Amino acid sequence: MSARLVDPSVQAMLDEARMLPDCAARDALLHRAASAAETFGDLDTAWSARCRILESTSSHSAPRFETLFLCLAWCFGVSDAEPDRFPASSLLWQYKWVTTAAPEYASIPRPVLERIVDDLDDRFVKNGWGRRAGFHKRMELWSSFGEHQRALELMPQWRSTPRDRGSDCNACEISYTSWLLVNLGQDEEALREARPITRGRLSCAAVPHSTFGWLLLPLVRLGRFDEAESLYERGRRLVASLDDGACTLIVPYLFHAAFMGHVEHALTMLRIHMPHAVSLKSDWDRTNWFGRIGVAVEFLHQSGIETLDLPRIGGLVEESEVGTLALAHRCLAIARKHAEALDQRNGNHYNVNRLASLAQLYPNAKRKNGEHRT
Amino acid sequence: MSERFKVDLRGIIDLAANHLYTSPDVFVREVIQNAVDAITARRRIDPSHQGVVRLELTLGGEGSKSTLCIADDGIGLTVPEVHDFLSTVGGSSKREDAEKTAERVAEDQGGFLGRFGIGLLSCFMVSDEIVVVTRSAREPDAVAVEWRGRANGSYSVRELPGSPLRAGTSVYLEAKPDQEEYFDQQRLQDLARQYAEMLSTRVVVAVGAEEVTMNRACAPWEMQSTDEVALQDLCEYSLGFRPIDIFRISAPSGGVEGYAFVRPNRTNAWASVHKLYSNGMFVSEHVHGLVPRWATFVGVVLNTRALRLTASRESVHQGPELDACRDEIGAAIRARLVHLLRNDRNVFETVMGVHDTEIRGLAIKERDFFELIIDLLEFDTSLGTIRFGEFRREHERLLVTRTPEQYRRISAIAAAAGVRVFNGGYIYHEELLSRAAERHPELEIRSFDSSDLVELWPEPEDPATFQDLMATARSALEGRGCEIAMRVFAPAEVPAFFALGLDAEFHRELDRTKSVASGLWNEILDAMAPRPESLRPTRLCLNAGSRLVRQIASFRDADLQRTAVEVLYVQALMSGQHALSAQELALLNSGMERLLTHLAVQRAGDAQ
Repeated sequence: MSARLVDPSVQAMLDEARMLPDCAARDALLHRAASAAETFGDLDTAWSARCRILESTSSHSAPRFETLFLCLAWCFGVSDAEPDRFPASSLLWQYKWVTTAAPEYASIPRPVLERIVDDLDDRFVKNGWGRRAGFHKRMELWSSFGEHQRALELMPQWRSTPRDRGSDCNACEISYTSWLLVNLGQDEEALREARPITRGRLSCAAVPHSTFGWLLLPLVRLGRFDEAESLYERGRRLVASLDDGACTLIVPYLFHAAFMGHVEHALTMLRIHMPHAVSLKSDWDRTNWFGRIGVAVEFLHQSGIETLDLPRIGGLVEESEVGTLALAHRCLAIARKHAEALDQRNGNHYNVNRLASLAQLYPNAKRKNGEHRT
Repeated sequence: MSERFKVDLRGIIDLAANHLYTSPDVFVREVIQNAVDAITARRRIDPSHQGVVRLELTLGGEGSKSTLCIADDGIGLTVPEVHDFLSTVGGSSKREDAEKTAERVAEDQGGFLGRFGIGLLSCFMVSDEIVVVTRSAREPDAVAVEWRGRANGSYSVRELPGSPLRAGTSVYLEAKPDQEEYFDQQRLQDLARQYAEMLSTRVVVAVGAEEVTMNRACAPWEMQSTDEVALQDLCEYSLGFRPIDIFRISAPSGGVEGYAFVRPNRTNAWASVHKLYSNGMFVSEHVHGLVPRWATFVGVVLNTRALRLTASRESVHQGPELDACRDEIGAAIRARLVHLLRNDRNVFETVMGVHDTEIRGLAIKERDFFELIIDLLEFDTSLGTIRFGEFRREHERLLVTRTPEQYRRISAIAAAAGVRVFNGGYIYHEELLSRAAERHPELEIRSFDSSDLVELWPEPEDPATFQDLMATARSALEGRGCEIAMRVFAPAEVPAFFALGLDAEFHRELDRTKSVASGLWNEILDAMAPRPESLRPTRLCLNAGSRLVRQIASFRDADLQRTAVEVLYVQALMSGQHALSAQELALLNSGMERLLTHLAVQRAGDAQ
């Protein structure tokens, strides 16, 4: 095999990227190198640079999903045209991330989302992978529409399909199942399902950071406050140690902190993550973030906190000292806009209803407030 | 019913001898290690005993094979010990001793280097038979014993009564036909030096009358930090570079001591070479997890007295001990940077000059370090380099471009307008500035692109002068998704500026990707495109202060004016370093052709 000649300016970017750890800066550099290589007609270098972005874990964190979409679209394009030169098998694992992220964008129509899952399923089977991932992604899709019961009904088929190299890891699958059960209100079952994770026997790159966050709600609903506090502490620290993606994962912890009296924690998390939250792109993330934060800040206002010191963020926090009520209203307005967009696409009221019920999620909060204040 | 596992002895020997280690090189380490441990054990009963390990090589010749004798004057073995330790795979005199002194293990494995009882088997990688002749120093009248072990798992033992052998052990190896390279004088010396040079017990390689001592005068972790020249030399010798800074590392969790050296060039994590020793014996150049991944700018030479090694002794056992040790090493490196920052700015500047990216990356990762360093970090701006601290003390708003391309497009023009725009496109710069906003809520950080620049420029005082030109330009560029604006901006030599916001750039990129992507993906990309109402307009901004623009505005020939606008449009794209489409290139060519034709006709008219 002969060595490929790469344009020096592209090579310099690739070399620089090699020096960097897995981070947004590295992805941006690789993206520039890929675009430049493409301009020079060097498709092989453009392909390998894009594959490196797809392999990087940081490209899967919420603010940068768009990069992932662009990369994968380009890679499937050249792979479909020349499958021997650009093998699709190296893209399939990343396709799952895109399939999970796509429903978060209200602009992607529902039929297109259904076809993405069909396409993933087809490509997996064509490449000799199994169908377990396809079932899983279809359940996730229906869950994202709020059709949790429908997703649950697919579970027997999913679970009876053998695991294969395209399946998510055990920790991720169990984590998703517990999330589904939480959304169906089956709190005890959700906690039982997640036991291997809460007891530290199962973990992966994404678990338990995310799992602990959504298990707080069932624990509080069941009045198991001590367990909730323990998961809160463990999860909050895990998320804080993340380089990327902390902004979206921190939301349930921030919400819990505000309602359970960890006011200082809540404010610190708000100061750190609010500037990143404004760059979140997906409607799902923006609904979750601004909805929960809006309700949490409103609760702080009711608890007697009238102003907050926050970094100035255009359109959201114009002065460094901001009134809690005004901030809550701004956040809730943002959340509502995105929730409505998602519901319009989904053809139901799932997200708007979800927003409306946020304030009632922690019915015991005021009672626990005094006991837990730090 | 409980039953016992059965063991295939040949398989076990084959595993330990041929598959446990990454290379036959390690047999040298294993034999030296056993010899040093024997001397350590003898010192327990005779503290004044110095001890020496000799590797005596006899080179083969016509019809004879090379042999190697590893001799020590250590504790030696009695007959029962030979059966127990040499003939029992996994049996080690040192493990029992180490376990007896369990309370000391964490600090110093009882002073022994090995403990698994499998090291001697590594000799089967280079020799079909291992012969050990030994005499115990524990009993004055102990008889000498000979043990012969073979790779097929058989062995024989015979006593050597009346042997004049002194207390100690000699191991004899004869080169396998395909392993003669390990019985080469230079190779043996190199390997012995690599593994044993930091040991305190003397190790000698002898070939005939020639004897070479392998040990260095002083192990690095025993050197004084004031001995800068010696440490520089050590770094060059051990790690292959002249360091730009040196500092001591101490990590009590792993019983680790030694030095860190700041590299004079950038390198990446996987290429980073370090040296780890365990009780003076070399372990590896690449110990996964020893040094934090972000610390690519340092190389370390360290000795551990407590970290647990893997069975092959070529790596460190991963676990909480190593995690704690790595954290301590990381803390020591950060502490050094902070020390330099506060006390030795020249050295700090030198380190930053080489490892700017890595140190900025560290500042993003480590909040405490960020707080210390952010004010001192320099940033590239359209009005020159500035330290963040200097800027924030005098300004309330910071404008930053998000990509280097955006910065390149606007920096000269922003500078001419006296606007300071930060280049956030450099690696970590935008992230650092965003984090700085968290730290300094009084400072507003605003993303800035070429569309924002247009908003800063005034409209001309004589708009009527450009009325016709504006109408022509709108008509000429209709269908190109580009609005026309007339503004006054510096420098006057720039007749037109193409303003494209970040969203619009993303849109262009989507379009480019769509030309490659297939059916379903095109629909996804279409759906992801920014909504038209959210896009800031793409604008060709003509400069009313430019003589050229005024001249074009004065043309009465509508076709000529139209052609000039088309050429200006492409020129603005080119000066903004936007990639030209085939259509845009064709527009430039036809425009130039029409202008030249017009000129030729005019000249012909003038000549008549």
